[in-house]
Amino acid sequence: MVLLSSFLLPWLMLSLDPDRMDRLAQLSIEELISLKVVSAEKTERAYPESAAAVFVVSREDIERSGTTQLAELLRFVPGVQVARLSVNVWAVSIRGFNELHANKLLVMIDGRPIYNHLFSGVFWPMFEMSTDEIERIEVIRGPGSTLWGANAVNGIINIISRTSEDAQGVFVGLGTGHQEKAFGDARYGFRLGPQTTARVNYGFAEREMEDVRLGPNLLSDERMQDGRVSMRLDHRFNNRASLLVQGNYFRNFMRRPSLPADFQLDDNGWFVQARFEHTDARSVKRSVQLYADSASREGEFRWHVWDLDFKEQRQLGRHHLVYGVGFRTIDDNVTRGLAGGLTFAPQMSNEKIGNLFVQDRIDFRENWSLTMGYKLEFNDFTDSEFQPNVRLHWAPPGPAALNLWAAASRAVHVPSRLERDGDTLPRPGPPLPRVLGNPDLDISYVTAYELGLRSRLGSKFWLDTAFFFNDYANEIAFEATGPPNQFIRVNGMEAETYGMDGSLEYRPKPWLRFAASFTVLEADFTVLPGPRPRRPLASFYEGQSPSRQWNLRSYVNLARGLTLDLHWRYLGAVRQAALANPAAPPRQTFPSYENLDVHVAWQLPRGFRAELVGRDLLGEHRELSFFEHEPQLHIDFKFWF
Amino acid sequence: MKTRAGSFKRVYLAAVLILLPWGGAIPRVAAQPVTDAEIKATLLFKFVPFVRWPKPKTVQADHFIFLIVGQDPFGPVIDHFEGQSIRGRPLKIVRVPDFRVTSEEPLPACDMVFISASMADQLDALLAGLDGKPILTVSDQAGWGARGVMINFFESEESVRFEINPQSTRASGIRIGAQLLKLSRIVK
Repeated sequence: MVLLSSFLLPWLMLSLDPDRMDRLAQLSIEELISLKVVSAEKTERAYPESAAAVFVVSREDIERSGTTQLAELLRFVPGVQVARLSVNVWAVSIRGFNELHANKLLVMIDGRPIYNHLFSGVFWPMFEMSTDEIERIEVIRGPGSTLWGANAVNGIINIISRTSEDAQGVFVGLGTGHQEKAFGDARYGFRLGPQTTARVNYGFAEREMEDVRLGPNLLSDERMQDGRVSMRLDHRFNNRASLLVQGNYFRNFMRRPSLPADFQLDDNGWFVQARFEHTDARSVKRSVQLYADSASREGEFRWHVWDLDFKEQRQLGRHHLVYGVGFRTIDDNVTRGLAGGLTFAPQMSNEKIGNLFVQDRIDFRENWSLTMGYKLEFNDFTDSEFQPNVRLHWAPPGPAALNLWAAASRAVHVPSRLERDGDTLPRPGPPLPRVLGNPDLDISYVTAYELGLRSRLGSKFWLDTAFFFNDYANEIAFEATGPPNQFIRVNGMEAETYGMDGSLEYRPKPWLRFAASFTVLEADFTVLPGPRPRRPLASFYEGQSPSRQWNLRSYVNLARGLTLDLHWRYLGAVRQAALANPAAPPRQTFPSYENLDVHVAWQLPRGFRAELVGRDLLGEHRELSFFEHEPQLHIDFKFWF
Repeated sequence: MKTRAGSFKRVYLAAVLILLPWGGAIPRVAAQPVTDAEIKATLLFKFVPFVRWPKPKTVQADHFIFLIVGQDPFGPVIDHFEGQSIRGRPLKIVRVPDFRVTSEEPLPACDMVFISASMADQLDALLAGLDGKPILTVSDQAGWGARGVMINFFESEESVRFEINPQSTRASGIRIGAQLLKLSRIVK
């Protein structure tokens, strides 16, 4: 990258011309509003004053990543672990604990949680989205349970879709490549009235992983097909009230050659969501949200979710209050769970979860603020859970826009249905340990301490970094029970993780931007002694997530609509994740790797863009599974009018 | 797999060889691209002749004061206009990057205010405080026109456009000329 940019730099003599503003000032308003601008570069930093570690993947980052998959956009977010386990299966976590069933994350789309209650994780293939539909992604590292809801033990990922007002007109994108055999999407955004806009999106993808060696005797040619339609309607009643209604339907099919028979997944699902927001004359903001969500996997499981939330924000003197209530009910029927490896007893269940929360931010002494939040959560299995947090923030005035913050919080992981009711099914081949669920499991919880700093360095650098120490208790261990080689889940492990993560932005010129992100993560696990022997898995958990991750991105606007973007990354070595059976992890280490993605785009002044994307161009590597990442290319053409 | 990787390498090399001369040659003849910050900064003061403020009830400040609330998105670009004569008074640009809407510290007196993206969580409270005052409000975030900002920039087909909220201007006694309204998108 250094080579390439030093080669290009002499040609890019775009220094600031002193007469330029004068020349612009001579143009009329009509002329000014018809001038083309270089890609709208908003260094949008949502929540610059928040007392938490927040990173925003902006629309610019999304468009210029050239990616076709949501999880790929999280690779350069500090503190986030992303590993692709197969053609459409991803493991994503924040600050460690990354595995197939990573379960300490709250992932939302437009405020609607998308992690499932079966294993408290996300079936990523069910949430394919065209990049045309995403406005930005906000990632909060560290516990955020007070304001956001359950499962935000290690962090929150909030995907925000584009409003129909921003996505008007017709858009068509089509592409093809090595692994991305064919993909495309279409959008039609239109106006239904002076205050009502809507959009309809359609998307499809066909991916194939060619001849990848999954095991010593198994060469796989894994394939998936995905299709989805979605709609969104935005209406404004007046300046102070708005309504959002949206929904989607998807169908997703995956086939993997396996023994004795091919392994197939056939998923489909839908959701409908409505949200009404109103701000009254005294700036009291209220919002009500209702959604229904349904997903099923042919021959395995299906579930239905209903969720109702109410939230109110108001200011009383120096107090900024947010409070609300939420209620959710989930019905499911699991005949064979999670890719066939598990059975659930009972087969059907109903869960009801309620919560009450209040948060108060108190501004004092001009530049200080103190935030305190409390949340009570009620569920069917454990007692009501108390999740408090305290945050202190200081932003002294000055050109550096310095922000310092510190936080202490407690967040709870309620045992998932898998942990309570899941039982591994016997499989053909060498016998594997059997793991039983435990309906008497208690919550596990984290006490987290954080320290953060945000600051401008000089006029062109922006640094955002956080240090953390997390203390986990009551984590799940596997204890021998009954016949040999049989285990049951118990609350029997403790862990400490600590480290730092952050990002550095450097924009030396309007057409040139560099962004670096770094993640340092150390972990120390202890399996506590129990009445019966427990699996000694501490070292495996410690090695699950890379202890070092470095990312470097560069964005160059050449000219005439040509842009060149590079993304280099380094990830430390990891132990292979236990897939379906955590009690029997093959002791395999995947070495550290570095790799490079390249995105070249050429855009006409209006209506057309061509993109060439190269992934993993430095060679083959593996991360967390036998899935082999090979260098690959795809091209993509986009039209809009 | 080896052979596939080998053939891939050739394709990759070829692609790099094809792209490099492009990358080198095109910028040489390139015209200077204009940034959205430059266009917006220029437009801000182009609007002024079309805006009629209500007659001041008290003594006017010596300067025409332009306030930037929140993180400044313009930088040196807008400083270019500092001191230029606006409505017969020299322009003074005042930045309040760390402003918080609290009852103790009001917004400094001004004629025109740009509300930056970083004020997103305080927008409604800030607008409520400006309600009825003869201050022209400007922003550049989607949907803020409908939320009550008088002139809001937006991007359309890669140009900078603007929308005007006549309801908000009327409430403050500010009048905007028909020529400017004609060029804008009207927020209803």
